[in-house]
Amino acid sequence: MIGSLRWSRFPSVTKSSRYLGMAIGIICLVPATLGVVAAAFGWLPHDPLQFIGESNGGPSLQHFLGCDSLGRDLLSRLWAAAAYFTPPGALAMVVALSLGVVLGVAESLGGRFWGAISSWCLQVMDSLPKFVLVLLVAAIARSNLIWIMAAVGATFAPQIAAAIRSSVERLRAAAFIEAEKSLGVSMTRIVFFHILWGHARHVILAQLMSLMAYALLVETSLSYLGGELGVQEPTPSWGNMIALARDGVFTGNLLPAIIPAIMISITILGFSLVGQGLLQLWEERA
Amino acid sequence: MSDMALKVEGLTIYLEGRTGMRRVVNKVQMTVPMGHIYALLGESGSGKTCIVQTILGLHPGVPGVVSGTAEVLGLNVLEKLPKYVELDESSTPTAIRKDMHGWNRTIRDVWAPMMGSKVTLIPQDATTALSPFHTVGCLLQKAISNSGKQLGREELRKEALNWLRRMEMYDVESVSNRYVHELSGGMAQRVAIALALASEPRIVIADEPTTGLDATLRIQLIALMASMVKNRKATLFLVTHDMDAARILANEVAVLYAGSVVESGPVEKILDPTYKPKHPYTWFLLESERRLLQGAEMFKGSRSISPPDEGCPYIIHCPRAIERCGAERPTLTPEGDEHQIACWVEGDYR
Amino acid sequence: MSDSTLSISSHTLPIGPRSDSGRLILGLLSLAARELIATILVLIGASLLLFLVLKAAPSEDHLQLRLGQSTSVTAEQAGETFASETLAGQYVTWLEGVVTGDFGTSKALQRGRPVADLLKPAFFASFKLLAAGLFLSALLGLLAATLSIFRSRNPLWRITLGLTSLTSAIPVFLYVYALVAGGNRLIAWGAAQQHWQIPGWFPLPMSPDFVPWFFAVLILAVGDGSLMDMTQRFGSELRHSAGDEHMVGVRMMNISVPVVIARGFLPGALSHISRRISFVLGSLVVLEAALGWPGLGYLAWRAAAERDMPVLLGAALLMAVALRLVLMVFDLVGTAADPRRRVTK
Ligand SMILES: Nc1ncnc2c1ncn2[C@@H]1O[C@H](COP(=O)(O)OP(=O)(O)O)[C@@H](O)[C@H]1O
Ligand code: SF4
Ligand SMILES: [Mg+2]
Repeated sequence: MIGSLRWSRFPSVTKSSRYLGMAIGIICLVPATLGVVAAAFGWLPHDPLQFIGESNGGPSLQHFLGCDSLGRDLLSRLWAAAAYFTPPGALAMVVALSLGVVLGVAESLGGRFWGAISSWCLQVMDSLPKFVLVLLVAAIARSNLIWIMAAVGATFAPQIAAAIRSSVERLRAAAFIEAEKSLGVSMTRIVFFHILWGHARHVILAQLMSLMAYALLVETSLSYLGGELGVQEPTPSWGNMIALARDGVFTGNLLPAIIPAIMISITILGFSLVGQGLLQLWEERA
Repeated sequence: MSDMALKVEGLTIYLEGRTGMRRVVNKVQMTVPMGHIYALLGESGSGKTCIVQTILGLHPGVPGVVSGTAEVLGLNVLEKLPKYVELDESSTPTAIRKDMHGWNRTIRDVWAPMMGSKVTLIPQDATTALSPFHTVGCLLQKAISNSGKQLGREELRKEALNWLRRMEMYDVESVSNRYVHELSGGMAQRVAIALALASEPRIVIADEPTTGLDATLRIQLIALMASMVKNRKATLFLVTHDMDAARILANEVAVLYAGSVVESGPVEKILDPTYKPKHPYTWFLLESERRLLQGAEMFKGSRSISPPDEGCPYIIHCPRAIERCGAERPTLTPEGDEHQIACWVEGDYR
Repeated sequence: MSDSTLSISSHTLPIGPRSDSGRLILGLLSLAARELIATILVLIGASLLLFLVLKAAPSEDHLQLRLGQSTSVTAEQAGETFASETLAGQYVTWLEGVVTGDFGTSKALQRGRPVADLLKPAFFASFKLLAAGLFLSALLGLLAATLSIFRSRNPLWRITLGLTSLTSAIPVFLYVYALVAGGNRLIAWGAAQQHWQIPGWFPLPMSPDFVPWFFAVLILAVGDGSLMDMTQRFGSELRHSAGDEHMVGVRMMNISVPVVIARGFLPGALSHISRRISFVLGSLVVLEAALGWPGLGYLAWRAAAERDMPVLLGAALLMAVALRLVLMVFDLVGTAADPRRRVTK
């Protein structure tokens, strides 16, 4: 089974196209990364919260991308939004990883009792639609992005756990775990070094990438829809920037709506492509 | 129809590995007359399965690049090959595959009328190679009806059970209701043998049919297979690394080393223990067997290694290699009637 | 890769001296019974999780749950007795109500209306949308996957396919925005050119007529990464099924190849679709909220925005029930299709 994957009659993709996908994905992530770096080092061209330009001003040397309807510099807001999203996004990854690893390891290696308990926990989390759970937390936490992203991370724990479980199953099938145990390798080492790092690394990373894509999607969707659930004005978010500018289509001011929309799309695309590339890498090595 | 069941000439196969194209089979030449039992001997990894599956269009991997001809029952199954594959043999294995999927489809179309009825295959590993979605009984009934017999439902069922009994199985009712993954390896292998024989083929291609079986059953089943094939005047192409089986059953044998046939001819000339082998590799095989039987000290290490691109594939291990062996690849040259050998140095080896 | 879902991991079916179909049906029935029990356990867990999340909040939101659950007492009285109960007692009282179909009354959305009345019509409207969206997504994904695997290797064709699935990186709310804005622009332009009269529903919102409904289904099927994910997973599932070693035996015996590929493909594909439902439900919420169409998703969003906890929890539970039931059915179908999933004793 494992051997037959590599020599499949239908090779998944050619080498070049896989690396092309990864490269495009990484390029897609560049604008957002630039924003995070710029905001972190204080290199934003203007204060994203100050009304400094003229309302709906077009691109100029002062304001590279123009201003929004309230006269705030669009580029600064765009980058500040990326920076504002980063810590909660990272928190989502941490939550997903820790919950997923604990439950996944307990499920597949924890023996009968703990296995059943953690399997039940994971199924419970998986049975609730992710977005609705996030809505609940958003409603309770009064649109505090930290809590919202923690919830997003928690809803992704089953995916991480599934990656670990399938790794353990494969290694079990190859009698790898038993062999290691019989050689006297400690369980902690097997779990962290061989299973998590040696075997499941790519899949877990890929899942984290799709988690980031989803987290961004959730944040922007909530902020766009409003209802005091997502990021609130004046704090910038790509979602509420579009919401603010959405009537611009009728007045001809397309830029303030289209630029955040492009940013959202390419960043999500970037995360998905990198995740896909990682999965394909793994499929080949398996 | 020609009297040749199988005629392979200059068959070369490149497979795509992770590091690029690799030559797995190199200019193989074989002729199997109708009604004969032909054994292809070789250690594992020498490309036996690859030859068989490529000729049948069944290779589970991308069949890579193939050149040469293969005639099965007079039909050249590789006829359309040049349309799809372009081989540049001038230097290192580089090749252009024009349309691999088209090639896959074409070879399957060529095979469709013969597959499962005139020609059948006993796969190497029956547990993974048989359909997991059908019960054993269902598979057997399909095989029996592939032979073209018109039988009623009940007769078909009875006949299927009979086939299981012939394969030395007990509790045939329960076995015929099971799926392949519910059988042991030996049982699955016997089912595979029954499947291949039940459709009364002209050619049975058996890819190490008895590897997973224990010794008593092995001899029994090989004998059974041989008698069935002989009774029907069918041809058996036996791929094996079991020299005893080849010696007992086969009329002719070809010895494969690293994808090249190094010696071929009548079995009594090549595998006779008293025969003075002409090719060093054949000598090595026979000598290993002799030492094993006599309890003498065995050879150290393994002989299998990926062969050099040019020259004799056996050069790395060959004790009598001369300069020419490294530069030119020896071709099969006649050595008495029907006996062929690929070696630059003439004369008996030891 | 097939990282199997969180379904029951070992299907143990009894094997008796029965005919094959009888054996299969018996096995499936017992599997169904076991899965039903598991589903009930999971749903209890889901309700507990929702309750605990609500309870963990610093506010007193959870007290809303009891409001009006029983009609014999006034809301204030009910709330007071509810508050005085222990945590476990509160949960049990709430769960009792939910199981008997009493989700309490809406607090903010339609003050005083029983939540069940709100949920029922919304559920059916959303279910249609969701089912159609998932179906279309699976269909398009299968088409793209099949074409990219079995058909032409022409790079241009592959790039086209790749771009098609890349369009699915665009979020649903952007699609909706584009649809509404574009539609309005078109109508305004047409009216200005005197091609047509301005229709009654101009400008916003669009009503769930057939044409907008079809666009909504298309958006659900493509947006939020649906199509990309489907194409990729279906492709890998198909590749495994078609490249599996047993194809040697299948081809050799002249058994119908497409049927075998389909049977190998089905279980993995179904489990992937059921994994996808959770995401598409999220897209549904966004879609209905952005379009303002009545439905379960719209209700959930409004309830969250107005902190109407009984409605939100009711919607969440209803979705969880539907999700688990679909998962169960898919699992049974997958087990029926692939004997290897039936571990025999
Ligand atoms: N699908 C494939 N792709 C690439 N290389 C393969 C594939 N299948 C087999 N090989 C290689 O081809 C060689 C011959 O394999 P095989 O025909 O299975 O040998 P045998 O049947 O004699 O044991 C081996 O070295 C193996 O590594
Ligand atoms: S050709 Fe040369 S290297 Fe090859 S077997 Fe003969 S003597 Fe040895
Ligand atoms: Mg072999």
